[in-house]
Amino acid sequence: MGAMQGQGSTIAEDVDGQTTAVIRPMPAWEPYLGWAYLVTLVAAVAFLTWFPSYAGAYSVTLALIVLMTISLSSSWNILSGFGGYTSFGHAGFFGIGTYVGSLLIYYDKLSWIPAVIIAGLSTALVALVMGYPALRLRGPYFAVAMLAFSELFRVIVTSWSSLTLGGRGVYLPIVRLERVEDGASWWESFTAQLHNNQNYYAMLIVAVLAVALAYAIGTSSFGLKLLAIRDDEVAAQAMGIQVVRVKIVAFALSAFFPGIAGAIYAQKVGFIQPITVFAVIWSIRSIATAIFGGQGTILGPILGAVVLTLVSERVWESDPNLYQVIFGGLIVLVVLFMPGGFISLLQGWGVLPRSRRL
Amino acid sequence: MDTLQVILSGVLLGGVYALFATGLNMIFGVMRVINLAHGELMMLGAYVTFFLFDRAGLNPLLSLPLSALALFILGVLLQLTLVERVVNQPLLSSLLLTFGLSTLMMGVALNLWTSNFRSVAWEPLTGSWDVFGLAVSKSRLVAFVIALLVTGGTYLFLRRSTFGKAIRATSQHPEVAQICGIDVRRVRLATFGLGSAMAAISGSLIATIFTISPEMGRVFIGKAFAIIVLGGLGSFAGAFLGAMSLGVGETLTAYWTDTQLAEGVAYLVLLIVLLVRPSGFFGRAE
Amino acid sequence: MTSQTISTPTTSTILDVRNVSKTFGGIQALNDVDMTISEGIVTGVIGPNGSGKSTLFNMITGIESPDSGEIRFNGRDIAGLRPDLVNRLGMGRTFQLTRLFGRMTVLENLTVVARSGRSEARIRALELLESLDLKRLRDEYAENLSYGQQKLVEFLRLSMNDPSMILLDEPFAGVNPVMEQRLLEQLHAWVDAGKTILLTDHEMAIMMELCQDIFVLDYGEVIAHGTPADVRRDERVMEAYFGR
Repeated sequence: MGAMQGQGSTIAEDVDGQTTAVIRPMPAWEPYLGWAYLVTLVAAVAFLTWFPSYAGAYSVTLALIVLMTISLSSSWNILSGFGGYTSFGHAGFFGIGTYVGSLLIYYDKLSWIPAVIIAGLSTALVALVMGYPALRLRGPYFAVAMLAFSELFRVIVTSWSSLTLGGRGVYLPIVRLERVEDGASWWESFTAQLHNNQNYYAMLIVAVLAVALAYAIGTSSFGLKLLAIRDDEVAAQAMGIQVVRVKIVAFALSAFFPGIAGAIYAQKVGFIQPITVFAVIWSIRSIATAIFGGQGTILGPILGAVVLTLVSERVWESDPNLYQVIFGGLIVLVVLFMPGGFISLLQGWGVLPRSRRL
Repeated sequence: MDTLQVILSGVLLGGVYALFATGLNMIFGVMRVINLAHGELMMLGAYVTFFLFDRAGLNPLLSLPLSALALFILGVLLQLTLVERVVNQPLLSSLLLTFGLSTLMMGVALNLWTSNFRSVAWEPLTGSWDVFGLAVSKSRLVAFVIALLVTGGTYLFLRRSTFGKAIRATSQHPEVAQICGIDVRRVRLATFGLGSAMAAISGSLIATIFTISPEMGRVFIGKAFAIIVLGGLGSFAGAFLGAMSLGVGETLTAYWTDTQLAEGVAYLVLLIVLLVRPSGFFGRAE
Repeated sequence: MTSQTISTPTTSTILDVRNVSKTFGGIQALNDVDMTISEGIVTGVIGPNGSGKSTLFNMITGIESPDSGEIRFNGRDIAGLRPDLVNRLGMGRTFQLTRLFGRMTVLENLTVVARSGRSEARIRALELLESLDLKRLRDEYAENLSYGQQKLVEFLRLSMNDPSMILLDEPFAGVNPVMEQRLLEQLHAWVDAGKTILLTDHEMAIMMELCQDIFVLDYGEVIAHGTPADVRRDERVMEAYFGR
């Protein structure tokens, strides 16, 4: 057997004269990645919880968008990255979620917390129902069908104006800000802060859930089955993997997050219209951030979401159309030059190990 | 009477849809690429016609060859620089690529021309003719005839000419075609160019019928897929039938309900057909 | 080295294919095929290319459904049953062109199909890799393996859940003599363990030596059946392979 030579891989010779490249061994710290993530997550949550008390409104909004994009990107990755079923319909679940959540509040049925939770559950339910027929479709057909699904729902929501108020849009009640009196206790000012930034904190919780789920899936046998389905679904099924069940579960999990995030987002902006909440740009955002970071990885979508959102928000502010150019162009570049995303690139260069925990 | 008029209107519109869908089908047939940017190519063709009309006062019908040429060139360039690279990769790569391209092109167009609707109101094409007691929109009838001619011409080209045969051969068996001495790369370039030109012409024709905006491409790509699943499985005639059915379906829906739902017909058709026949739908253009 | 066990064919039938037919868009891939596979022996299916061997395998393992007929596995009709359910009943298979999960490691290829817990699966996978001296490949991505190594890993993958019947689709195709020997060893180990093997290949010498029972397919029909000696002498078989 050939000896390891620093960072490189060596060619080893097989018994029957065949040669094969031997992969570099996993670094010693790899098993501790899980703990590292936990520590980082706790630290991040602590920081983000305290964040609104000193940051301005703009920064808090930006942070909210970052957290939302993390949720969208990571959840898209579940079915499309791990499972290989690329979907162009993530916007559809986002739109449905905004309307379910918003209408529940508008018609005075529920307060916002149960409303947004139900919004998320409703999109998961839609996915469960659609799952069996939809997931019989092969790759490109599934992608296009999901696009059609998203657009169809946009048309339905626009047309059913007796329920949804159609194209006119839905206005949501504005959160009345609580003022903090001088000399208030720590607890009083904290709860006021929670109240005044309720959408931000809600999105924080959703993002934490999304990240935790990504890790759970990425390191579990469920996640490995998804990868097997991605690589060769027929073989996976022939080997006894219950592909139908696995795909539908992945689809439902994936659909929950855009639903709940959408409902929270609607609360945040205070006004929704079909044309904006079902806009394809939400799908594009999810896809571009996930594939830029690395689809089929745990960190990829999170990384992509954070980096691209921070970089592009300036653009979104000044020129929404340029935004489309950037994200569209990004997808083109990733497909042509780094289809595995940034994480995969780093792994190929040997900077990062080929760990399933990344 | 009214209903008949509406149906006729849909049939005529279908002709233009068919032209658009056939270009898409051809591109897939030859190189197994699902060109999601096809709608934006159509949009650009529409804008060529608009600007030539608006700035230079050029008769929209005369602008057709210019629009076709411009987009043929753009199509060849796109194929050369981008699409060719993903031709031998799994279908999803080209799908994502063209999806990104579509967004990119739409964004650029929005930036340049804003989302305002524009129209090409050319006097000779406004209004309608009386055909056997039915009011037939002039622009739709002319568009239908031209679309029919172009599609028919393309069909003859594929059937009769040497290069057309090369295209068909490549579409059936690219490896074998290559061994037989056909320059498949050139065939692909030409096909993407041709498909783009067809999209452009359909866009220019649409510009004479409806108002246009940079976002129109999105709407039409959905229709193209619906048409292809309905009947475009390789045959030109099938695409025409499917397109006209869709056209009629849309105009009748708009007539009976509100215009918004008409937009959803294509998506509904697509989803229903995929539900019933999940094995896919793209065929070869022969 | 395992010894080659020649077991007398038992009368117990493990797989019963009856009147199975399948048409694909105008072409009759299988026409009224009858086959009885006895338990615990090696049965071969031979025939020229296009005779329907792979289609037959796909029918049995559930990847395709027959248009008509029955397929009974241990008495239970499995025609049209989903592939994962067929597999769970105790049937394993390989494919003509190896179908490993390319972007996963060899170890992951084995553990992902396991139906037991994670740690048990890992232990079993490592044991299997050890048995074929492939443990050093465990962290290699499957797509980087040599063809022969992939075939071996496919063998191991199907062993993970200890199937009672194993279908091998052209296991010796494109394999060098050294690898062929290793594959044969694994095969004999399975037979020693009492498993039923159904295989198809074009390597006549191996098929004649290995199989106790052979079916000959041509144009989707069974044209001959018997011991290797019987089949070798059969005129119709000659004609099918050399005649036309």
